[in-house]
Amino acid sequence: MLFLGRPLVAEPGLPAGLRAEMEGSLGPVRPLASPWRRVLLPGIAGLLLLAAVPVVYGVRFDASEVGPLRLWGGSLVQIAVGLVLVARALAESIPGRLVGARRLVGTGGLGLAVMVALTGLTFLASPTHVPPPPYGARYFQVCATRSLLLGLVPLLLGLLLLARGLLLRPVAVGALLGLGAGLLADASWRLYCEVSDPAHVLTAHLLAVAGNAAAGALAAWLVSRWAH
Amino acid sequence: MEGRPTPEDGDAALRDLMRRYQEGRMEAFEELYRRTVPLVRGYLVALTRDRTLGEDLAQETYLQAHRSRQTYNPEFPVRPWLLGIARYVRLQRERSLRRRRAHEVQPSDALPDVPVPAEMDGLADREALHGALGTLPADRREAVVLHHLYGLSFREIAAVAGASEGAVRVRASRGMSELRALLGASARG
Repeated sequence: MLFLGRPLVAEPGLPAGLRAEMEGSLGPVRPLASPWRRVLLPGIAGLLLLAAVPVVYGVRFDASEVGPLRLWGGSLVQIAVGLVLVARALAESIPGRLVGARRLVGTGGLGLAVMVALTGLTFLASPTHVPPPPYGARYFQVCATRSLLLGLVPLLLGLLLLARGLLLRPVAVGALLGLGAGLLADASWRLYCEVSDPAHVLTAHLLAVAGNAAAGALAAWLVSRWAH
Repeated sequence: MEGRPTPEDGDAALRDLMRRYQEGRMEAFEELYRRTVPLVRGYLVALTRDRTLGEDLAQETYLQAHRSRQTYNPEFPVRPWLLGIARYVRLQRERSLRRRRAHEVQPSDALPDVPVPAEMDGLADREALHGALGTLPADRREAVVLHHLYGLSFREIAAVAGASEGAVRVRASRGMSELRALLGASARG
């Protein structure tokens, strides 16, 4: 086979410059574990949050109306889906393992769909609303900020893992990671927040998840610039 | 197509070389470089349309591959991993050039040393093939070069380019149609 006049065959010799650069740093390395194994770290953080929020803040007063399956089972499902998003983001940091943009968006959409579905199921079981003014703004503020802050824990762990790879689409990958981290945090926060009204959950809680996604996108972009 | 590498061609040997390279053996890297540099360089020259830049980026690709060698998983093929790094290096360079406003220096439309799909061989002279391949949009050129010259599967190209397998298939098909149309037009002219 020809290469416009050049035979497409193996070439002899490593360029001297490349050899010199490599010789000082050639040591054994351990290949990264698969994204599904690496996701254990943020996964453990998500489970710790799930255990810590009820201990620190308490469990919502309508837990019996919501039922253990919707409450705890729902949160575990949301954690599992959040970890799928984190794993996809980690896989995206490995060269030659990218997926199409539609699949990336679809994965993020799956996470949001699960959150919306759980909100609906919880509201059907126990329709609770935000108390009348002036408490509404306070509820919004507490849920949005606390859930956002909780999400920073798995997000930071995920970013540490992400930084070991190469980010070809840092903003998209960081947003996906942040979305996953936000879902992990919201899975624990919904155990405490007794308001199931979608008008509250899909604004205050969703804002926190979106904030984590934005923070992830920004952080991953900075990581990629720093790595370059 | 005679002599055309298949996706699996030599992959077991490349994986073994990568495994030994990850263990810290220089001779394994040298052999890996020797076997893969035509692919990496050809890909980069085709995408940058600049032979000197393509060769520079090929060296940068191997340096980056060295720094990122822990990201290679021996369960996966080597060529998409290496081409993924080449793509990363190219995009980083493009971003740097944009930041430095170096975009004022446009690469020539002529396409030096660009691989020509074997299907096109014989349809036109080398110069015409050259020019036609150079006019394809970058994503189509990438799909045509990687699939029709280097024999990567559509799945492998999709994993390199961050696109769906179907999208890559369409890019390659449209790229080939455009090449045929261009070459047909030039032959009639």
